[in-house]
Amino acid sequence: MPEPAAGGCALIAAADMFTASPYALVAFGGYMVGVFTLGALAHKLLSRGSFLKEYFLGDRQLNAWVLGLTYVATSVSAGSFVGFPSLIYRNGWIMAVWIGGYMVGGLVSKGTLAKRLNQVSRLTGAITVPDVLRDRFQSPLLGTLSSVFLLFFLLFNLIGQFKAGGVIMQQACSGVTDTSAYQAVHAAAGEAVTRIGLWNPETAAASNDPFYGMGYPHYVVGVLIFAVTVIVYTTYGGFWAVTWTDVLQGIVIVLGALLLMILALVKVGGLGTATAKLREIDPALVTGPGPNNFLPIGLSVSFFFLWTLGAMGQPVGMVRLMACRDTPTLRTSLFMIGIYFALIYFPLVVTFICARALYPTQFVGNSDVIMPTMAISVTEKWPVLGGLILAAPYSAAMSAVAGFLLLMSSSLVRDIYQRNINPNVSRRVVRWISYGTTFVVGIIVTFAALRPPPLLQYVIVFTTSGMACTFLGPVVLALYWRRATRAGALAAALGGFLTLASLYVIGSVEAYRHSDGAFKAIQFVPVYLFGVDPVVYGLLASFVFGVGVSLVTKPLPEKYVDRYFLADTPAAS
Amino acid sequence: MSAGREQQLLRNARREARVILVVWALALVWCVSVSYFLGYGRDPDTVTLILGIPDWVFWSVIVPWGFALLFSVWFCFRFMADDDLGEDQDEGAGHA
Repeated sequence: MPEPAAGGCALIAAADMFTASPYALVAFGGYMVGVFTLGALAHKLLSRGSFLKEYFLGDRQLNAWVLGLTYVATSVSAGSFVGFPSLIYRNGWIMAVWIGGYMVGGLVSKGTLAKRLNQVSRLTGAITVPDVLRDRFQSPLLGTLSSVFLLFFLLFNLIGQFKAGGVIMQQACSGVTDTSAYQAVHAAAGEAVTRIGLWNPETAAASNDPFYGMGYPHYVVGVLIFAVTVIVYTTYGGFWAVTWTDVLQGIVIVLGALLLMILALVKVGGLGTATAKLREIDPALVTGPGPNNFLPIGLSVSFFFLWTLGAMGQPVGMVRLMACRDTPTLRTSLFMIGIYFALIYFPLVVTFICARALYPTQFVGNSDVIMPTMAISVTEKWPVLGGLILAAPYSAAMSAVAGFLLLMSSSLVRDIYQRNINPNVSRRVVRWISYGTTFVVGIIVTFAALRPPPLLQYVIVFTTSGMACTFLGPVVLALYWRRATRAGALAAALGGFLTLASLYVIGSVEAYRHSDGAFKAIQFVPVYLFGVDPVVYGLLASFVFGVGVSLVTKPLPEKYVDRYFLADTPAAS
Repeated sequence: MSAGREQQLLRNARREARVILVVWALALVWCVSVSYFLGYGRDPDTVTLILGIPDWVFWSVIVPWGFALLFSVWFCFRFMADDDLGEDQDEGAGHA
């Protein structure tokens, strides 16, 4: 879900209000031991077969359970557990319509592409999405350009996920801040960020800034713990580590969501009671379009597009489809993904409807804290359970980060270095470059997350939409339309991206012009033409440009195209 | 362009994608229109509850979600064909 950075500041501001039990950290610790054990086991697999294929694609050996869970764990980011609950708490039952696209989300995003994408990537030995585009269209330019787009989009997404992971870790540590070990780490973190000029304790003490105030070093500790854990296991174990931990994380996410729903229902006295209470609090919470015209029909359609076609265009999901073993695996995992989504999103809606009934007004101003608040408040008698529930959003952030991190390093190593700079690089060098790149990218993102850019949340929504508008058109045309040309694919990628970007630029300029005369605020907001989100226009433009330009440009020679489409060609299956 | 025989996997994948897109369109129309006509601008006092859920949410989201899951059982275990995904080529240094 593309709003992973939600809630950072508010959570920090409220960190003192809700303190997790030390037992919660014990549960967290147990979970982390599991993650590292899986990472170490995964590393052992890297000695077999082709290193790159193994490190970045798991040698295409994912079975149904693993594929289903890894796809879900990667799709469900920290935003699903921080931003989404916050929106349910504020807007009530209309959020069930907002998330409605997920009823066919797995089918659309996976079922339409999986078989062909996997087959085409096998035909050429492609291990990344830019690889597929480059081979299919015989275009190094398209391959390199799509890699650059991918790196740009993923960087912002990663910063947001690191920030969310750091905030959740900070919350989990809130029960042990009095211990000498924590205080030593906290003091060292504060001193380090002061030395490198990221923070000044004197100005912080006088400031009301909820993020960079005196609580900031707690956030730094949280980010560093998050960064160390996720970078180490991703770098060391590669795709298998990410995939196996995704499985663990997928299970934790589903169980966490279900457990939280059951405990919330018990606490509030049933869903009927909760809904009746919401009607008393604000009648708009039980009717459309929700409070303050939250979801007009144009946006309702837009979100349906985003959760289905938008999800279909995310390269991190596509890579998982390329890693699948065979079609029986695809069929089973496709069914399982539908079940997983139902088991995650519906319980979340119910849980935070209950939360609003339990806390009618207390968190309206800072609703981003509602997830950890509920996790702690419904498990007062069983704090270990609270820790496990808190591990769910942490898992969501970790699995999304690990997937993105690996995708970025595969783009750098494979698409940029091996295919453009040094095609004859040895296996040994590739191995070390892959480890090094994953590690260095992780370090860069950690530094960026220590001082996240302003308006990050909006940038992340933009980049997620941007990936869909840039990649979906070219990939669909590549897989299903023989007549698609190199220029057509380029036009689809650029047309989709530029349409989206233009609507954001126009919206931001308009917002700036109409902002308060005394305080001209820079905003990053799109213009909603006819009430519809720009992602819909971007996707439409991508396909129109792709098809139109292909039809007026010269087709690729048959010798390059036939193998992807015709039977009885040497490389065709 | 040569007029050779298309790969069986491609024909199957295209057929399956078409069916999914039809279901996607039906789900979109159902979810958005039913929620709009039954739930938008509704007098809150007339909203009845089904299993604790407002009736308009039940009919616009829960019911089609259930149908979507049933459809996916049929699609995955009856309709979707098994195809040979082919041999994996060595990724090598790459061409192009």
